[in-house]
Amino acid sequence: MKLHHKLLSGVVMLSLAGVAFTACTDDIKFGSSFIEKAPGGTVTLDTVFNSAEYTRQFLVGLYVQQYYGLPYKNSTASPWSQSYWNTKLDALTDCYHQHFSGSNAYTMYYSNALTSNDRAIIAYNDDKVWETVHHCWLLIENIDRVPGLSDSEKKNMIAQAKCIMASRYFDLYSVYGGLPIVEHTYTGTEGDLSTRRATAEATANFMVKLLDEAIPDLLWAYNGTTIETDATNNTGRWTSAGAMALKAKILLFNASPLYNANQPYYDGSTDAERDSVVWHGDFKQERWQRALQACQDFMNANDANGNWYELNKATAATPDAYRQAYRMGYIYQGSREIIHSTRVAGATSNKASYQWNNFVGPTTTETGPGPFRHSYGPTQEYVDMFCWADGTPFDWEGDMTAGNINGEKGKLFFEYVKGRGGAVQRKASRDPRLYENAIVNGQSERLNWTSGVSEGNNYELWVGGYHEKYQVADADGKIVEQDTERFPSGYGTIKYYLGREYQGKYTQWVYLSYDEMLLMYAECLAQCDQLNEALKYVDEVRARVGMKGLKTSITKSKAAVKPNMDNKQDVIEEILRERACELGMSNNRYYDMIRYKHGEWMTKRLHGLLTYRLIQIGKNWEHNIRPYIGDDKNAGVAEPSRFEHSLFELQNRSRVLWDYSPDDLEVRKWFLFPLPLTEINKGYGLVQNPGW
Amino acid sequence: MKKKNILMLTLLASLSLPAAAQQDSTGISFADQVIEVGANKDFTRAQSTAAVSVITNRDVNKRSAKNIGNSILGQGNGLVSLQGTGTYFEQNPTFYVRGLQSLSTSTPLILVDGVERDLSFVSADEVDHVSILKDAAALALYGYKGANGAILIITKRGEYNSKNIRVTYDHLFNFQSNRPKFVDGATFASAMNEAMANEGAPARYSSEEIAAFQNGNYPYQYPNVNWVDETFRKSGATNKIGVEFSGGGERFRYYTTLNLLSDKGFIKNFSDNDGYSTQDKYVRGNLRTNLDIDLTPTTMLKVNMLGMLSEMSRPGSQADLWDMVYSVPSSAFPIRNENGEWGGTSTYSGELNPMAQSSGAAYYKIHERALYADMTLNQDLKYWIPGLSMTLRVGYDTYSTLYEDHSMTYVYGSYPVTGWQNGVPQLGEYWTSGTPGTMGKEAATDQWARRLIFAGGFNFERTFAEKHYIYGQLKYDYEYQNSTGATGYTIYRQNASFLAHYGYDNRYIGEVALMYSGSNRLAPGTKWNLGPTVSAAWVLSNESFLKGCSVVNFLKLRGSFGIINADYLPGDNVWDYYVQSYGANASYNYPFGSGYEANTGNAFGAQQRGRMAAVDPSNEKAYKYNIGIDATLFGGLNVEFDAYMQQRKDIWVSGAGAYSALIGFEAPYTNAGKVDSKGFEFSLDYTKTIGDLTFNLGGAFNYNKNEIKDQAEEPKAYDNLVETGNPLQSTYGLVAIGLFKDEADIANSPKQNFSTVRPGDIKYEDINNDGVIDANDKTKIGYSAYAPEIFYNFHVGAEYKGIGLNMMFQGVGNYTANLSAKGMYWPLLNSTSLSQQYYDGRWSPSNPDVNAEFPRLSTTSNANNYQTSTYWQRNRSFLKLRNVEVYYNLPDCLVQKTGFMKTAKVYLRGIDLFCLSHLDEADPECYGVSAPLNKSVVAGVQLSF
Repeated sequence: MKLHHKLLSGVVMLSLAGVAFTACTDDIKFGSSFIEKAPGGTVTLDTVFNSAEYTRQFLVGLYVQQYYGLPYKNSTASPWSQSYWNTKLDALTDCYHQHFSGSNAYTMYYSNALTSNDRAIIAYNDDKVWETVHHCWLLIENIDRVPGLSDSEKKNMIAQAKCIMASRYFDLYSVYGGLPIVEHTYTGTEGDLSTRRATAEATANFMVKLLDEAIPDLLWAYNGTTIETDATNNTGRWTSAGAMALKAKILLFNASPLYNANQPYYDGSTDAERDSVVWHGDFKQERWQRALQACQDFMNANDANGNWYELNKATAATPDAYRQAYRMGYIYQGSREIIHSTRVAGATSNKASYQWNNFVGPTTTETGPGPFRHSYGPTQEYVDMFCWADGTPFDWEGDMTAGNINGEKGKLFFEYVKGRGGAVQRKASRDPRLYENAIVNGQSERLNWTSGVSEGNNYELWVGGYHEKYQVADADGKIVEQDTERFPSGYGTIKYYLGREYQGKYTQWVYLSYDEMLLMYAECLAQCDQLNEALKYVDEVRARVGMKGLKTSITKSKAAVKPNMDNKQDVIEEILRERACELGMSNNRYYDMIRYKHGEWMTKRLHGLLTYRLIQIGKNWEHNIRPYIGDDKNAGVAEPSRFEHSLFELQNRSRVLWDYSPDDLEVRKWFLFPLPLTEINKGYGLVQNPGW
Repeated sequence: MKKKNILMLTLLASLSLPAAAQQDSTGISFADQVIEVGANKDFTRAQSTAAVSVITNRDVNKRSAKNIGNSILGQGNGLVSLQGTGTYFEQNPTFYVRGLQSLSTSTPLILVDGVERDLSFVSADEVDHVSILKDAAALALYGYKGANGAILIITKRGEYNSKNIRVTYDHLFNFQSNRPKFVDGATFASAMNEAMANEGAPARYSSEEIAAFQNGNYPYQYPNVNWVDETFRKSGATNKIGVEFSGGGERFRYYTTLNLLSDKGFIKNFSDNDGYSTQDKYVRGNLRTNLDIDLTPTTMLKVNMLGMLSEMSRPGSQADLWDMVYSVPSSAFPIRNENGEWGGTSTYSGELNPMAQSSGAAYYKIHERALYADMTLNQDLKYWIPGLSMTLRVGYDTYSTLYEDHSMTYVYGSYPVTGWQNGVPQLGEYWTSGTPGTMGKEAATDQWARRLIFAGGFNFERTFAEKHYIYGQLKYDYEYQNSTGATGYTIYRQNASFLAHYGYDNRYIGEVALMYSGSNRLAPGTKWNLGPTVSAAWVLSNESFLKGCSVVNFLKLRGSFGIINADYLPGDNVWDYYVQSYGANASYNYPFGSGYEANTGNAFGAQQRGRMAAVDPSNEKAYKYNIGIDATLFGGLNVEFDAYMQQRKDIWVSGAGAYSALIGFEAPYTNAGKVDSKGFEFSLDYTKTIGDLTFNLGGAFNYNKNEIKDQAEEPKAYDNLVETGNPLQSTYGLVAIGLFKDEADIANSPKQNFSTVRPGDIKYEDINNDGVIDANDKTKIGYSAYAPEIFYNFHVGAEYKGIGLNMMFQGVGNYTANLSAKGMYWPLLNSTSLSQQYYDGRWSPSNPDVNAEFPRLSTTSNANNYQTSTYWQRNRSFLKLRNVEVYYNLPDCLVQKTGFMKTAKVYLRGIDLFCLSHLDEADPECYGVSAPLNKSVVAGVQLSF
């Protein structure tokens, strides 16, 4: 017995010793503490809001989630609007036609195949909007307890959060209509989240309320001298100018005919229309008055702040200088024309593998290679919106008859003057902004970054040309309009791209700008029947690029049908045209299309330009489908100066809506995007937009 | 008598058999089979209430396989075993007990001698038998780990007062079945031209070039290499040798085995280098010692130890040679070019050159080392309380791998053809790439795992009044598991369990198990869970009305119900699902500022709210119901029948479908998943001896069906997209309705949105009737491609005067294959090869058959055709001859003349020699881009002394 006990206890001790040793350095725990999770670096809400530094970082995190309108990521992850597999709102307008066959423009929009089961361009639940709103409220609700922040800094941070929240609401409001209003954080455990969509008006008022609360606590501009207030460290943060401009933009949208009309845009039978989430139910002139007031408030405040925001003026009265002024107005990060910009980290070359610049243009040489996934070809319809350099409206048919396009005196984009020995002088013949919104045949590859002078080779966008090769038509003249190429419409994208010299620069997205403010002001004035006052602000925008006033210019025009500048509708349409020229690639053309229910912009057939280089053989001018750069240039042949232009209908791919009448409900449903069906099916009270 | 007659008629009326051979080869009858369920007491089948099938010693080692897992492939009743592919080193089957069961995981628990362990290096020689634990009564005592069933491997032990030495030697000749066949260079070139023409592009190869591929006049520029035959030899070889010492004395038993395994693979050119071979090789040594020591008349000590060392060597850079063979067409480049450097072009990189990779890239090694050790002490306390005993157990396992990377880079190149002049190709400047390398020397630990178990408890076993048998145990156990990839996330579990077993007169048996389990993987407040199980059995054959009946030798009815808890983590091993986390995202910089280049400004790492903490977290539970019969009839027919039902509840799934986007942060995981499964197993085994002839036949048939009842699925736009209500892991895809005939056919059909469609492309059905074919037209098109619903096997065997034959067949049904192997089924001629099968069966302008076996050729990935669809789906049912053996036991008189030998057996085996399936050119278990499966012929000898 005793022996047994000894043996037994010996073995037991051995086992226990084994336990103690084999578990190495970890403590052995028994009972419930044994099954605790191993400690990890878990950050909680308290970690964040017990530190001023973390709280400031938290605010930075909100900025990261702002809308950025240049798709640059090879990713389908949220935010969906940043993926180049998606497309841009501009590609749905009459100004641009996307030629990248991998994009949704091809597979969902031009084919009219989008359903409520797909993510729209700005996705209701896949663009980080609700995430941003949640995080904004989280900051607002918790900032009181953060140690080490002054009251004024807290107020300022809350105000910034409110602006971000309002801007994200606007990003959805502008393409979906009324939205559920979130006025606090959700914990997720509420059980019933039955939040219905608010009316369009209530949604606008909610955004305006947030901005009104924010305005007093923000700086007008980051133009101070301290590290907290200077431009170098702070440009990009929300300011009261940004908040006031956004307020004006929201109220303008709210007053626009899409929502503010006596008739709904669809057939009036849908729940969304009955609930006033996509239509106010009536027209009220006061809505325009309110928008006008917001514009005036901005202008007055800017005046009171020494007119900090202003148009970037040209240093000389030359086409290049006007271009440079316009270009630097939107691209320069310190531009005083920009009221609010959004940025993304890594959006420059060499710092991330995918970005806007690399997908517009070639990556190594001027002609390639490149993935050309941003083949947003400007359309002929867009190019035609740009006036002649003096401001006279352009009119394809009239100007063709007048010999301004083809023939000896053809000067579609440049006037060529032959000097002695065949040397050719070129002078830009159109609105300088054209060359900054579309790459056209004959313009230089570069506008010098600092001097603003054209340099480098000329873009050769004729059939067989150095840059275009056979992207528009093959050698036999058959239109091929190749996709995933750079000049499929006969023009190329330049806005935000500029040229290869811009590779490596941070590309901001202009969210609100002073020129847009002027044109919004003009539109509100026109809507409130102050036509002459309205034209004053339009002309201010035109004057920056050296163009004469609208009324004067139209009077000079020889076109058969001319807009009447004493007619409200005509003035408004001219303002919209001016907006397209001034605010290319800014989503505004899309907003204008739906705001004014311009279904005809969707159903209008769009065109590209077919250009031939001509050479004289005997007495005849014949097509020459060879590039100039290379053998011809090296041999000292004179620069090509005579071209033949004709139009072709875009066909790769044509848009299904072109076959519809603008009044067809199939067209009109497109004024607002579909909400995701899965989200509606979750049953918390969302109603679908009409027609989807 | 009447009752017996009825029973007899109901079962197998026509047979009347003598009550003789109801024992397996080890001499244990079916009723006396040991059924281990994790208790400290092992019951016999007659006593047990659990649903357990046993792969007996007779069957565990008939495939001369690498490990016990491969050895029991196809065997058993209730076990689904699916062959693994890859090189010899990597071949391990996938197991399911009763098929797919849950949205989380269906992987069963694998135990070696009662401890959760990897079986991949346990040799079949050291295994006594394998049990398949199926119902709640069998799994109750495994706590959180038993929900998916268990496979229990029991190793051999010695016997008292005996001495036996056994030597086994197997030599395997291995062959690869269904090697892919690719087209020759000229055919590839013309196929490329055809593909270009299909896409409206000009031909890539001129007729001169195609002729050059054909006549081989310019073998360096226009090569025609059969990469499969050049890279791989026809056969490989494996040698296995095992020496076993077993026996014991009065108070001591031992079993020791030394087992050596060596495999050489299929690389053809392995000896091109001095000093090393680039063959695929695997060498392994196992040394096991199992001891049973009677320390005192009441103290028993049991020690099991397995030490293992292995070494694997393969060509350098861990090159996947089979992947290359599917990628590189015969026309891509020569093995070596004119100047002796490896072939490679700017289109097809020389890094894809299978010959260069298999002989010019040196080698890469993995070493595995493992120690499995456990010790059990049993102390009888009958002097204190009669019937009481105490059991203590401790075990420690360790496993690690090291790699040695001796890979080497190499130079490759080619002379490109710039054009043809006067019928002769003109060569351009030599193109070359790759860097000349020296052999690498890197070595490091790769993976490791360790485990500690400890258990202790009291047992009570007594029979009262001769009829009342009672067994009870109280036990506490814990385990600690730690492995690579989970640093900081060590798993701790512990259990307190109570088991009570009561038998009345060997007729009525009842059992209750209460399992109180804790795990550190579960959320606070949910870490501990109680899993109760009740089961009962009625041994009819011990009833007086069946006593002495010659037809029914043994008959037992069983039933069980139990709740088995599981501690599975949600998502991809997410541990902090119950914590509302906030995290810094370092990539979230924001470039404030007015300068262009500046990435400075106020760049911060921003703080973001993480996934929402799970609300009311719980844990997955399996409600298992089982009824069954165990019987031996007619003296030799063993029957098992089980019908089961299982409800899985509270399975972790993503809650995204239930949460509004408005909450503004990631939806939590939720315990909303529910899966029901049900099925049955049926097995028969009949042995009879007539004079000198003994024969055996039998089989098993299993049917496992499941249905997803709930998975918090996001609301779907169309009914066809809903997955709830379908079986787990069903195949979803498009329904193909032939190929497009011509452009008119395309114009008249609904638009297909995947890519530009051309004649010869696959035409799909508009399932949701919206006029467009897109991802919304996907629907359930087939069974699971992961596990079959039907699994069956049957065997026959006979022995006459020492000469014997046995065969085992195994098959599956309700099983789906989705073909997608590049080069084989999805050729995209710019980057892969082209199989002969595809070429012969393709649609082409000259053979515009809308029902062609394969669609038109395309140069690049064809998004329209290469969708999962019924077009690529095949019935994956198959029937295989898993193993066949012919053996001869040398007559005792002859063997014993040697004076030292006891028995001698020689045998020939065939492994996986024959397969019936619906796939023409591939094996139904291996139709992807991977090494083909092996067929083997084995010559073996077994001597005992």
